[in-house]
Amino acid sequence: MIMNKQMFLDGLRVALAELPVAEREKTLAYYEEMINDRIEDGMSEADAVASLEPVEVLAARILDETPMMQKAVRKAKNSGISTALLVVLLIVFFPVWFPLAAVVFGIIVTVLALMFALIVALIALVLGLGVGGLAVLIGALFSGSFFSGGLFGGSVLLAVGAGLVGTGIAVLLIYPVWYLIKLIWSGLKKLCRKIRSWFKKEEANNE
Amino acid sequence: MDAQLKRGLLDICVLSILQRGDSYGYQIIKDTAPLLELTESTLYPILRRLEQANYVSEYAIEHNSRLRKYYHITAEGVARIGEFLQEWQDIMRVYQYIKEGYDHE
Repeated sequence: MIMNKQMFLDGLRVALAELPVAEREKTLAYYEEMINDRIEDGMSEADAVASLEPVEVLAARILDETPMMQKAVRKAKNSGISTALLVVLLIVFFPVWFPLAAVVFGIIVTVLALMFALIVALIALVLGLGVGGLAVLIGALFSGSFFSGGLFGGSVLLAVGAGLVGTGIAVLLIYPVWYLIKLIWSGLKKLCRKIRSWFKKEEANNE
Repeated sequence: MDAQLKRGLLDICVLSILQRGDSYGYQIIKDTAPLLELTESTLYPILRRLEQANYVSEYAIEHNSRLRKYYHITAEGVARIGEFLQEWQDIMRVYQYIKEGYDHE
């Protein structure tokens, strides 16, 4: 069938019905400009239209590029269900979807919080051992009894030993803890990206 | 060519065309023709992507009593090209390494 520009654009408008109006008009303007430029370049109108992909193929590709969440909202909007009915349905099924959504949200928040807590705890562990160990060590050395070999000499020696052990463990832990934190951090970022990709297509595909 | 790789290349290719001067849809397609096969339906999502990432901005100019949309590369877009070139330095090193092993056989 020979199609002219208007037929092509009308067909595309219908096929893209589930897009929001602004988005759809922008797409149509783009294709209209393409056809006009081809005609200006010397093609006949029919040839210009024929050189583009068929409307269905085009529309499918454009819709495919649209993020999942936006499309779901649009689908609901365009499925013939009126907004009022949609609101009523949302209210009626509130006891069903709300707990589900809350659980999903809760799980996500819990996982994020756990990961953060783990990072903080690991840093606290190293800092605690390191700083605590150093403090005990310095405290012992400056208490004076260590040098005078007095009454508390034995317990001061014990404190020095404990301080050294603490600091030593902290130094030993720095590398594995750093590695763990990096691991958790990258997991965290991946999780965030995944969640974002439910709403936005771009990011997930670019990775 | 690998689809993912081609996609990335096309984005930068379009940016590179715009770095040489502002352009419009049909002209961009004609300019990329000798390099990579690009159709209007592949260009459209690329332009949208680049626009959303703030790599290009757009403006309309009246032409033959209709509006034609022109695309302009932003500073971020130019920076993205620089990033791409840097990435490819690394890729080329790996390429060289792989090639040496292959040629050795």
